[in-house]
Amino acid sequence: MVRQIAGAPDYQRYLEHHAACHPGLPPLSPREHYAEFVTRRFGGGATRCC
Amino acid sequence: MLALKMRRVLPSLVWFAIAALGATAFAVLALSRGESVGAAWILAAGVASYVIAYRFYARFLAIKVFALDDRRATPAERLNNGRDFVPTNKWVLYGHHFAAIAGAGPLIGPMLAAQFGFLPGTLWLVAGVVVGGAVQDFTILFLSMRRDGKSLGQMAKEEVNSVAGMAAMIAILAIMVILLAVLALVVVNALKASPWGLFIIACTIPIALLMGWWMRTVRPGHVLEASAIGIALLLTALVAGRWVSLDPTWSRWFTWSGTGLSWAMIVYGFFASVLPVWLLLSPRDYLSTFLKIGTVLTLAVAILLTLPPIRMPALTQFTDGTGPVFAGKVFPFAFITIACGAISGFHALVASGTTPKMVTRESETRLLGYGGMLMESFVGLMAVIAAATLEPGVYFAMNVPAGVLGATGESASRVIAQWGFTLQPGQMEALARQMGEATLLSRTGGAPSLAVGMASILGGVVKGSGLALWYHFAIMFEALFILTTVDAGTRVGRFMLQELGAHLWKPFGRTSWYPSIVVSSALIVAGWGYFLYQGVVDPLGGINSLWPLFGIANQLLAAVALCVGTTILIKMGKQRYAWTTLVPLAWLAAVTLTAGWQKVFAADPRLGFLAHARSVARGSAANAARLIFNDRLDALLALAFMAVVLVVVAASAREWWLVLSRRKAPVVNEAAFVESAYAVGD
Repeated sequence: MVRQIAGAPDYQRYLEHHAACHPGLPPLSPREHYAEFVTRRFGGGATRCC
Repeated sequence: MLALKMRRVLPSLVWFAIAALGATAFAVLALSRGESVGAAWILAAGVASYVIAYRFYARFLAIKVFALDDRRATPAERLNNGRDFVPTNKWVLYGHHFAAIAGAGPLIGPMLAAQFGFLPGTLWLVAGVVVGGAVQDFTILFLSMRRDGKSLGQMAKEEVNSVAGMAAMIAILAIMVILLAVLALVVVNALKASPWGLFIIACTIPIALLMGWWMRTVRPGHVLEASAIGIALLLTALVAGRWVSLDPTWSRWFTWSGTGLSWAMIVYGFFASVLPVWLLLSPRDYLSTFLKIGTVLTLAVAILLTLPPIRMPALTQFTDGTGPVFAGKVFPFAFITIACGAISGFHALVASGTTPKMVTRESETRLLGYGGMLMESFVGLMAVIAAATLEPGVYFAMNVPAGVLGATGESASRVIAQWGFTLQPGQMEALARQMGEATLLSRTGGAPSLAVGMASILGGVVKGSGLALWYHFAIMFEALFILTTVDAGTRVGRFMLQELGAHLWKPFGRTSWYPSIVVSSALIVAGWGYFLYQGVVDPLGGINSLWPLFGIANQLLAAVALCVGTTILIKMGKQRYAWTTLVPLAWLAAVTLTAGWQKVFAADPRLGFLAHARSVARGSAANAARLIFNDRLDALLALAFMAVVLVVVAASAREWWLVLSRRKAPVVNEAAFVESAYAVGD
């Protein structure tokens, strides 16, 4: 739960999602998954308020 | 029979009791003259109002105005991709949303506005959030959720017209530049001549790099573990800072001037925007999120445990506009200064950003949008309490620039005595020793006085021990998340500039093309860096002119958001309820336009930029040309902000008229209805 509040990635959840939605395709490694996650979340400029 | 009757009557009795408690608390606060009131009354007035507003007004908005429908699948459910569109538990998302909207604004604004006494700030934080800020956040979150998480700018363009869209975009960019300048100035003023503070903040950079490397290479994705290491190292740096401040060589190394620090901030901001996000930006963001939530909760508990006495009067004589912290009367400047805790246009960017993509059920937007903003207002009330626990003499000695107070404790006492407050000889020196600082005189910007207030509240729990440690903890807490905003804001500004630049020359819009990244980052940093540097060398401290500009810009963005909200409500056929967004819009327009007008044209050189330029021209200041140029630049900026408000209001009003007079079909661009698979009311 703390993980989600902070907006941290969840590799286990990703594996579940991947198995359910894209069966047959090889999933990303933890390292690739993290790199992709961070670029997506912060790459567009994380919104932080004043 | 009696039991049944009781069950029906009891809830009404409870709500009546809460309303009565709130009304009593406000009466105690407003009527107290001379005798001291406790912080408990401020909390009671606020919390009772929040509870009533959430139960009745937010419910009215949810059911009657927005007609939230849990049978309708949210974007998180329809577009679930396991990444940004993820159905999230509402309490988890509440924490996430709060961490995104809460920053330094609700803490610094009420601290500065305390020059009017504690009452104006308290009243506006509570009234403003209930009818303004929370309504804005809720409306934009709802509208963005119905549009698959579209941004405010996109909604302005699609639902109002392209003029409003362009105006919104320019407003966002301008507010970003001013916001970053003023926040960076707050940090510079807090770390200036403070080796202990600077040491901790300097340590956050290697700590963040270490965390970034850990999360990417050593243990990919282990954010909690890396954050725990980061926080442990941060607390070590906090304790080690004392030795740095006591050691003659080390303390010389970490004692920097304001100009030196502002250059360091500018260089840091540039690198934060250019470097990959995993290295610096994301680890800092995690660190500051944990620290922010932890400290806010701790402070709330400490205030409840200690219920500190209020030493500030309800109202000071400075409501007439003669205030030394910043110029201007209580109307409109209390509203401009409080800013984020009551209503913040910036929140419209978050409410149309990540949060709408994570909502599981439509009805939960009431808790997230309206409830999230109530929590932000509560943070503002804690800042009011921190300010009001300071003795007024100490408050003014810390927040009034040296140009007014003079350089010594004696000169400050004399000036403060003229205002009718007392500052004992040696009191500021003793306080500085207690807090582990060289001096606390004229430490403007609000952060140091907030830190003193927080230290005395947090230290009060442990019977006043370790005040210096608590003081620097508070400074670290503020500086860390301000720097997170500087990182993120520079990056957002850079993207917007690239998007705008692409209209002139296509390749400039390629967000991962290095030459474009470097040029756009340099331009954004130069923009806020200019205002920061001028603020640092300003003899009146800079906060004086920059904070009102920031407040005007932020409220202006809120006006843009409310224009978009009103337009869509009318197009949805909800014109009967358009007053819910029109009333705060009318108030904000009145406040920003009055404040903008006074900042530009007021005859008092303390208040009006142009009058100040004239008075400098008559004098013989060494740097007169620069001061005059800056005054004119600030005046131009204020005029541009006012023009943007007028353009957006006019463009929206035209749409309202076209739709209401049936000259134009009321088309809304909502995503189509898809039945939710989740059980309703589960």
